[in-house]
Formats: sequence, structure tokens, C-alpha cells
Amino acid sequence: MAYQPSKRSSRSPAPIEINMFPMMNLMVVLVPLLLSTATAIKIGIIELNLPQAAGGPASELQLPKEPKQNLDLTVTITSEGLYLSSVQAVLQDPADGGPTLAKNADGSYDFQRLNEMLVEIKRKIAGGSLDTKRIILQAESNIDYQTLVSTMDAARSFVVDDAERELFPEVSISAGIL
Amino acid sequence: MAFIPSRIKKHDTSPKRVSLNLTSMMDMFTIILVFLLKTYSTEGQLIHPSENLTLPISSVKNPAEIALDVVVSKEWIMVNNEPVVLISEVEEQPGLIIEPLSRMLQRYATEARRMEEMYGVKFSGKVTIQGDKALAFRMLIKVMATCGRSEYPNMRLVVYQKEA
Repeated sequence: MAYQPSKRSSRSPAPIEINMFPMMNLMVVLVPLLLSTATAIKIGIIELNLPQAAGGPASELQLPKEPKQNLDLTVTITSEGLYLSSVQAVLQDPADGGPTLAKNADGSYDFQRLNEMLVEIKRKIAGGSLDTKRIILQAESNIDYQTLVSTMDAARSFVVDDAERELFPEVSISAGIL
Repeated sequence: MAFIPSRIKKHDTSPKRVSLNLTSMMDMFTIILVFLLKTYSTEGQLIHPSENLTLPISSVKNPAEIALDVVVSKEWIMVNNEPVVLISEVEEQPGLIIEPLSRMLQRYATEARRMEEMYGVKFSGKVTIQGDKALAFRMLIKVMATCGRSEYPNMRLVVYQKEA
């Protein structure tokens, strides 16, 4: 009779474990390094457009074929609300002659409506000889910086179908204080 | 008859090998690593916002760039982290031009022009203005007017970018 090994002595193969310590060491170094260099808050800049100087070299003075008329579209920020005006007229609330866009009930400014109104104006003047890129901002002396930046945002671009479109990209700040 | 455990087993005090299960930790690290690599930016942070102010939030997409740094915090006006004049003093003065700031900017402009002559580093007249979000418009105009008069007409306002 052939030799039959004992059943008790047979053992199941020991599980093989991968040595993960080198990989763990790598991760422990990489993760803090990347965390320390990560930028949680992004910082941007708003470029300001100053009026061009009257002088300058002759080569830079290139007259456009069809000179653009200045619309001088202006947004004035006051403690009552926002006024929209141009070289020709001031848009006022027809009911009480107050600001074009009065403040909301909670005291905030209606930047969404301002954006919509500016889109409407842009559509009406597009294709004509009027300047369709420039807008001027002026404010009362106590208006805070955040309100000014939010007004600039509302004037600079608008969103259609999740895509940002140009509105009045050349935003200038008026030096005059109301 | 009651169970009597083996004497050898009863006195077995040799330490057993305990292995740590690292799989779940590896999973976590892998996810974090992939996320961080995805959001990693080689550009880095060119502008470090000052501690004494909160910048306004804007939807602007232009990235920050290096320029002379003018900070208008709640108490001080600083140029390249060097205090120049107290805000309370500026509030009291009637004119638009802030004299101490103008002197400091002109010193930087003179230095930059000398660098331009010696090493060919072009002087662009760029200045970045960091202002607190509660800063009054009259103060901003004073700072801007001073920068414009002191050979730094290319002004940029530093803001926090709004999350998409």
C-alpha cells in the first residue's frame, strides 16, 4: 500500500502580504508637501483703465476709420441706490424720481438688476457708432470698497448659458467724490 | 469532568506578532494624493494678502502678478509691508495727495529707474493696491490719486476670486 501522508500535517499556504511601508513613507512625505503648497483661496487682480494722455508719439496716434462717439455711460453709487446715466440723460425711477435702482429691502444693492439693465443697453447700442466698451463708476465718499468691486463685476461681464460674455470691460473710476 | 486547559498553553507568555492593517489608510492617502496633484498649481501664490485686512470678493479671472505692493489696512497704509502713514492722519487731511505715501513711492520709482539704467530692468509703473473690503471710497481715491501722481499710473486692485 502506497504511503499516504497524514492529513493533519497538511497546512494551508500562508497569506502573502505586500510590504506597503515604502509606499506609505512616500505618501507621508508627499501629502504634507502638497498640502503646504496648495492654494485654498485664489487671488485675482482688477486692472484699472485710466484715461489716455492727450500727447504721445505720432506713431501711436492711429485714428479709427469711424470715430466712436462717447456715450459716457456712468454708474453712480449712492447711499440711496444706483443711478445709471449717459452723456445725454439720467435714468430715474419714473414713480418717485429716485435712483434708477433703489436699494433692496435688506439694504443691499441690486447688482443682478443692474447687470440686466446694462445688457439691455449694450444690445440697444451694439452696431452703432457709440462706444460700447467703456463705463465710468463714481460713488459717494462713504461707499465701501466691496460695493465698488461688486458694481465693477456687474458692469464688466454677463453670463449666458454658463458662458461669460463681455459687457463693458473697460471700467474706469471717476476721481470725483460725490 | 471539567475542562482543564493545557499547562503549556496556560503559561504561554511569548509575545505574538501583531500586524497593522494599512489598507484603509492607503486608500485614504491615495485619494488625498490624487486630489492634491489635480489641484496643484505650479504658479504658486505671487501675492500674500496682508493679515490686517479682508480683501473684497470679485468674479474677475485675471491672475495676480508681481508689482509694488501698496496695502491699505484698517490702521496703516503700507508700501512693501513697511508702514508709511496712519489711516486716521489721512482721514484728517483735506487734499487728495497723501504726502508721506507720495514720498515713499517716488523713492521706489527713483530706485526702479536706476535699476533700469544699470541692469535694463524695465520700469513699468505697476502697483497693486490691497484694500480692506470696508475701505471708504474717499480713501481709495486718495491712494489712487497719490499713486498716479507718484510715477505709478498702472494700478491694479487685488481681490479674492469668487468660487465658480
